[in-house]
Amino acid sequence: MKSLPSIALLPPDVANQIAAGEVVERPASIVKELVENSLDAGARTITVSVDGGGLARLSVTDDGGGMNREDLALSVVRHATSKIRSAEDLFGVASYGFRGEALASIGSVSRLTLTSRTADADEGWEVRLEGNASPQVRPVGCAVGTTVTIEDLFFNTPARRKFLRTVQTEWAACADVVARLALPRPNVRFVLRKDGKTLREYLRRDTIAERVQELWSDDTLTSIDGYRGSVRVQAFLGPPERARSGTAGIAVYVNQRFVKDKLLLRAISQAYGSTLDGGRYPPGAMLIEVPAAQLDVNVHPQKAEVRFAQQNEVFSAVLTLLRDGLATAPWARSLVGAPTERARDDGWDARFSGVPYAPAPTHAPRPYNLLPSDLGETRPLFERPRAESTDAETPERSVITAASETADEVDPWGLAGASIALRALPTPDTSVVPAPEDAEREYSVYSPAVSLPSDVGLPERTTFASLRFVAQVRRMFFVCETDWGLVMLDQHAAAERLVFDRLRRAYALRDVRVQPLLVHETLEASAREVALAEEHRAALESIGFELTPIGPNTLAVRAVPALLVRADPRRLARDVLAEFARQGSDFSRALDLVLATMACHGSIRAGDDVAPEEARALLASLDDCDFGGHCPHGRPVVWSMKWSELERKVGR
Amino acid sequence: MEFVVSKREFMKALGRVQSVADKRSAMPVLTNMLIASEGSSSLRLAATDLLISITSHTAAEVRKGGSVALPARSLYEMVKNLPEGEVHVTIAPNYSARVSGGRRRYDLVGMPGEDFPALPSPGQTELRDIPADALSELVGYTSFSMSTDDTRPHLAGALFEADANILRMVTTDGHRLSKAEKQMTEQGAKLSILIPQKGINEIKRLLDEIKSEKSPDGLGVVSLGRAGSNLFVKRDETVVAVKLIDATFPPYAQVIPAASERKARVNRAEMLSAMRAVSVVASDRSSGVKLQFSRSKLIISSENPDLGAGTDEMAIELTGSDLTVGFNSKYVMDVLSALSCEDVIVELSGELDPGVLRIPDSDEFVGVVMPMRI
Repeated sequence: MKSLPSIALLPPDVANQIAAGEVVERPASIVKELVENSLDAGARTITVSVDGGGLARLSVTDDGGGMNREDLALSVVRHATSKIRSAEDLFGVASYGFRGEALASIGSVSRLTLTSRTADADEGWEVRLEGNASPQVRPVGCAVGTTVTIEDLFFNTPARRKFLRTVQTEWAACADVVARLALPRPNVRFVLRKDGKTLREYLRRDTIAERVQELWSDDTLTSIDGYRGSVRVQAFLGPPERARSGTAGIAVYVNQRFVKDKLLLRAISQAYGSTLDGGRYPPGAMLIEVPAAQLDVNVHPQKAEVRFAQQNEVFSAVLTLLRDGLATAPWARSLVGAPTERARDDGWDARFSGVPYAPAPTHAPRPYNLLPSDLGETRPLFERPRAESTDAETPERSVITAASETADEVDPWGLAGASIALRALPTPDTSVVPAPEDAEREYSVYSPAVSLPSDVGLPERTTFASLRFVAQVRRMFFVCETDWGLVMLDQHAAAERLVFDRLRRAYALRDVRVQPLLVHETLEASAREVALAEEHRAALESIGFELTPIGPNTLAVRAVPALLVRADPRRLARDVLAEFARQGSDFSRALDLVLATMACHGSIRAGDDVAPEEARALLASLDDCDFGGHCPHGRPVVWSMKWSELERKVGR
Repeated sequence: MEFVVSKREFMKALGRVQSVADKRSAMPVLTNMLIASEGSSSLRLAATDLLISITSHTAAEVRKGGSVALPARSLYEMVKNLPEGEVHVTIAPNYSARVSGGRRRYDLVGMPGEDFPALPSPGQTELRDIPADALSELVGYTSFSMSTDDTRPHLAGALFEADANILRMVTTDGHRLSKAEKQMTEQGAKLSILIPQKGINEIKRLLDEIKSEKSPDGLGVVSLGRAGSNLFVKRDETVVAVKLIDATFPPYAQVIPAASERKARVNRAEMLSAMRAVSVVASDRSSGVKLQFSRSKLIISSENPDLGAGTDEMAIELTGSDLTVGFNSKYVMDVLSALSCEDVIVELSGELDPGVLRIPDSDEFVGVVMPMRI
């Protein structure tokens, strides 16, 4: 029997490499640490140069305060920081960095050079770190400020190097990080260089709003700014029809720190009410300011998570301010003014057609009332039941009822009762997308207490074609009758299943028909999305897309699948890319989800008028589908009730 | 307020206006129409959904001036059910209207006319007179290829351009494009605007009404011009105002092929009927059909793995070499149905290059359709 090794304290260089694993995951995480240091140093201009995706060379130059010789030598030692002095300081951290880990960690896995000069010194100093060799300090001529250069990243940790993605993807991630950091700091100029060329420059601006406009030049954002108690909320959010699946299109900041906070994301989606499908978020940014003392940022090594001391206050402040702000958004108003011009999105119509008009408030000339207070009658009686059978594409499915104590007051359109079983996705590839993104999908809004016995799916030997279509109600559901009972179908889910099936069959037969566009659509995309489109070009073509990068941040949509000609090519392309991003590079795993996303676009939506003939044709075709009873996301399509049950209910 | 009006005239004006009134608006006043007296012998009727507004006039004997907003749809239904002859309307101080004719009588709850939103007005803008038949042709040649997707406003409408002596209308939904042009004998002001889909429909309705008058002197003229962000189209006492789209129409000229390698002359009705017949088997959404052009023959066929196949052929005259190309049948049929000429010219280059349909010996129409990869 082998004896167990005895316990020994790790040498500092090994400890540094382990710490590096937490902080330095990929070039983009280094960019983040270094740019944050530059911001903390009071820089007015920050230049980020990325060569070879950051693996060959990466440098960050600022014109901030700089360091003197002593500080410079100390800065590369672990837990050396100028930003806090004691454990008490950890609450109320106002600077970005504070752990004092970054430079030591980065230095342990690369060749790092640090040059710096303070304004009052005649000369600068340079310190070099190479792997675990001891630092060398020497005088050098340089401008005021600090430059950190990293070469040969991960040269001594081949395991880490192996997990990096293509150069293009790593570059894209760096570009995203810079955009993310630039947003809350409009008074700082950011220059982003790639392989020696300046690719993007964020000029100094007076307000965050101007910077945001620069970043989202493609979208019309509604600006919201307000206080509630000690919480300030500034938000710039797009209309619901521009929403994208996943959180890649939305940036949330707390005290200028970019975070992935489930609570705040939930507040955003609730403020949009039923106009957003689960898991979709509007484009834009939200910045929250809370007193530093009420915030704990020391939860996560990359500081991506925060904890609020007054969680409920923050949530309700954000929700109230967003909801009020969005009610006056131009898109919301135009919907009120001209409902026929409404966005064709799930939920819109539920809001307008299901809601009885408030009587004219004594000839008030401005009855723009988006938020009727009494919506009791529109709350559905039954909870949409959870899917019971499993189908192969979505192995896991869950309904988790969120804490509902706030749901009553926070559900502006009273539609929360339509509880929806959301798919739980396979664990996302964490090297691409940080895990918290998808956590948002796991809860469903509030289930009402009243629930009737119900049946999902159709009894055996009942075909969809045999259902007698009676009517379309709320432009959302088909009501059908049979000899044995009443059957209701979710029109969007049913149509989606059908289109999905057709797409999958066409793909399997290598017979995806492609409709090239006469007028190419261009879309502003993040560098990462551009990289994805390049990386997956062949896969995209196999499902009927042609997406060509025509600039560092622009994609052209040149062709779409012929089955989806009615969909907006830009939105379709965005969602498909988002799905690829979520799934990583494994195309076969992504395929079904990508096709499901596509099917969603090509289908009849909630809110579309459906003629009886069209409804009947849809019912007839459903019989040919596998799993016709569920939409490709696993939601049930059908709900039925036996006549006997109905009779019992009404006391017959 | 009190007036007496002939039912026939009143119905005409009500009919013009009421359809715009928003039946489901969350702004209740918009479900109403405005009725205001103008002098002692005329009434102004107006309705709007904030995007389109229509104002019309009718002759009436105004006994007491004033204005009122009344539920548009209900008023229309009530007047329709009154006997022929005179309609008598009295508005009480609480804005309830008594509408009577013969021995029938309705009471209808109204609102003060001042609550009705101010409607856009052309002000001093000079409107340009254009023949109604020319406008009707422009709309007919192009309106089918607008996008119906309101989230893409730059495509969900028609580009209308007026040069010194040419009028032009262009629409595209990204897959196909239609351009129509009309030479004008008279010079007029330049204009370049993007009219939303709904506005085009309203203009169509106005033109249809003009056509239904069947005047022996032809269709006459409509006057048209832009003031601020609105387009105004005026005919006699009716003014349609359309809020224009503030977006940039794609650079359409780049999309129209300058030259083509092949040209075929095809009988329009025959091709339309063959396309219609063959597309029965095309899979429903993509509705792809295959067109095989050869020296003297065009074979149109479609295959659907779930269903079967269909084919038809017709005689044509082709210059250039043989070519097989796939199209969404709906796109081609839309063009063929919009035209009325005997033959059409189909211009093609490669199987992935846009196809062009034209009227023989005329520059009035260009239809561009992107082929499909089949």
